[in-house]
Amino acid sequence: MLYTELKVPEQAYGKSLQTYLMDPEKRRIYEEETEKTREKHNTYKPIEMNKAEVMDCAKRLEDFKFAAQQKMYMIVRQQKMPSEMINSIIIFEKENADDQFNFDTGKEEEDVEYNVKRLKMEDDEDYKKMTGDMEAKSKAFLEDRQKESQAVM
Amino acid sequence: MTFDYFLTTKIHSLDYSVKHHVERFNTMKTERRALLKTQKDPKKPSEEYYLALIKKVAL
Repeated sequence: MLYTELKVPEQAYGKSLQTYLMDPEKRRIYEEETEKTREKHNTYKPIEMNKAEVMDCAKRLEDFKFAAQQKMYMIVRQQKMPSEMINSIIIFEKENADDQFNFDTGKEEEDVEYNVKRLKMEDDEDYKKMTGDMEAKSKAFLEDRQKESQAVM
Repeated sequence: MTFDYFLTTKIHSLDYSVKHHVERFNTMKTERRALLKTQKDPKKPSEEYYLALIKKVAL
């Protein structure tokens, strides 16, 4: 285990992990740095896709993200899961979603990311509408849950 | 632990892990996906599939 290598007590390591990964700004830095590290070792060559394929795949990925958001919300709300388990659950859900996505489309998320950049989809009106709609759906979900919580209090 | 120390050590650990386990991760992924293809309902995979997934998460 990492804490053994570092000669840091398990409790101290666990507390740091929990504190830092729950802080949105520190989590963002952590995710950016881990992404850079993964990219350094990534030898995967993305598959080229056309716009219709990218739209279809991007929508599927957004649907997975929304489903994961709902699931994670329920887990956290029920407070039955130890907080140190939450990161493992996130990894589990991500791997599961990647497998299902690959089963359904034969593609990887990296293929979509590569083609979104290649086809400059961030400037495409259809793509912007789809991602905007999903963002609004996600926001509405959180706002509704917040209203529900306030109504209970 | 300060955040800088935490981040540096986590990244160092990940770097080592990715470098040494990338082949293993890919094999596990290939096996898991092959298993998914044999499922009656891939949307509701068997316990065997979930165990394979847990093995990956545990690494």
